[in-house]
Amino acid sequence: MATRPIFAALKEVRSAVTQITLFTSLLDALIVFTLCVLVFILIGLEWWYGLAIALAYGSVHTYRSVKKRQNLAYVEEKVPELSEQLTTVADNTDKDNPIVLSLQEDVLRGMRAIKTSYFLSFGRLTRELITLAVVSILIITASAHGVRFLDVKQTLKDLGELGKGPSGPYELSGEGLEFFENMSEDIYGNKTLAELGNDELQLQLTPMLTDIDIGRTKPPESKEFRSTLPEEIKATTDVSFQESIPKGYQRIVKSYFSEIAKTS
Amino acid sequence: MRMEDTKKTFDHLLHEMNRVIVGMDEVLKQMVVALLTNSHAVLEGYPGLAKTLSIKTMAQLLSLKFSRIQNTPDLMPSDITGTYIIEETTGGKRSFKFQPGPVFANVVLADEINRATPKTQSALLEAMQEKQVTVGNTTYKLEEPFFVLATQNPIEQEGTYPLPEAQSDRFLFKIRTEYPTFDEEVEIVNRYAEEEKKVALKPVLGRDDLLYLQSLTRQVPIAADIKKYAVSLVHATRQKKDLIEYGASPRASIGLVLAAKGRALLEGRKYVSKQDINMMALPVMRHRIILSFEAERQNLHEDDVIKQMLK
Repeated sequence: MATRPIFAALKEVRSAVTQITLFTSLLDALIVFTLCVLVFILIGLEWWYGLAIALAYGSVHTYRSVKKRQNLAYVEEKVPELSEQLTTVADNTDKDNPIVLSLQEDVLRGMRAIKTSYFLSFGRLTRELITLAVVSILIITASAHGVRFLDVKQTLKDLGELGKGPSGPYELSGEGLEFFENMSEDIYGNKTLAELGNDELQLQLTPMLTDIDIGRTKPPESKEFRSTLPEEIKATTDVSFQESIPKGYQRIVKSYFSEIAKTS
Repeated sequence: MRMEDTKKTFDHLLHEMNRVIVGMDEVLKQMVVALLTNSHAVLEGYPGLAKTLSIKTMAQLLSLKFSRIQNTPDLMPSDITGTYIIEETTGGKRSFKFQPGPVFANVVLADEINRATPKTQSALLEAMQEKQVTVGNTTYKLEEPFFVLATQNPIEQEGTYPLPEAQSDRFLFKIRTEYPTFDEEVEIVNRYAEEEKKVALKPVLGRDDLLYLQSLTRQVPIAADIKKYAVSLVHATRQKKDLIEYGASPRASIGLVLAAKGRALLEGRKYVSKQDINMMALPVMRHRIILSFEAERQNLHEDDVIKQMLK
């Protein structure tokens, strides 16, 4: 009984449906991932949070879809010609009578007409691919221009520090203000204000904006500096000055400069 | 008979029946399904709706032994089962000999069954369920196939005795005959109110054919989900306490699945569909439920409640 073609056919159909389900689930998870990355870029969170969310979504979605679509009723829904027959055959594989055998032959004939495309919704697939492309473009654009609507980390940090109350660094009490006023007597400012304190400086270089690759460094070149100043310094009239003024006007020019010298 | 020929055979059978009976397609199909499932059916309807004629016509198309019991209030159980009579042999010796009653046939028409007293109706119980008859100390096996096709008038009419629940449950179907449509009635008038033409009917199915078809009916495969759907329908009659006082028994589940198989075969299908279950739900369950006072107050009938469940 195990060699009946219907067994292989049923297995093949289930396998094809599972593959398509996995593909569509992967696509859905990708969309979720790109959307999460976009949102996290815009609010200043790490992109790999999106990976975690997409993985969780993908796992649940795949499990539920595979479970649902393993039921042959799903295949019958897509292939109305086999409606109720496929399930009946699958549920009666242990029976061996003329009607069951005849039904199995009919179903096998019908299954030959099944195409993988029956289980793919091209409209949905197109929409999903377009969404994926659009979101990807938005991610690239947002990264390139450093677009950020909100820095969630900084906001949370600020909120946290606000919550620390009067003992925090932004104490606006009278004593604090007096302290800062006293310290401002130095014209170069308070040295402590130039310090970063104990906090680490968060510096992010956007690769698209600069060609600098901080990962590629080389040892500094040693340069020798020599004095190039001449030993004697004297001023001379430029030859071109005298040549360019016609002789008839040279006296006028001379007296002009003499008058200027007098007034100054 | 090959499996592929079954549809043609049924079509031919129904066509022959339609030569006599006008309309009533669904009634005739349900009668054939009762035959296929080796079960009994009761036809209920007002007088003059061709109940008896339908059964007689079907009997003519089957080359089987047919008998008719005209039920009346004074009918005795022995009139149905048969009795011992004294027989005198040639030597002058007398002995009791069993004289079989009309129940010893393949197709028994129990006409106006609800006019017989409950005691007489009960005489059919053993025959219908066990397919045997016990008279005195002897049990006689009935010949296969054995069907009781009964007719009855609605119980609201005078001079009738409602079938006991136990006996009612033994009928797979309670087939309701309705009034014909206008066009059908015109056709009936044309056929029977003008010059009398006797329709010559030839048997379509023999005993062996019928037994083969009965075995084939049980072999029709059914999907697990559809089987569960049938059982859930019957089970629901026990849950719907607001409208149903007593729900259908597990015999209804068996009957519903079997009837659906019969219908599938009749339609030439090799599998049972949900539609078969829905189509068979009314005749299988309508006589197996007892409505509550609330349902009666709302003027609901058994069919209305079952249709609600089918939705």
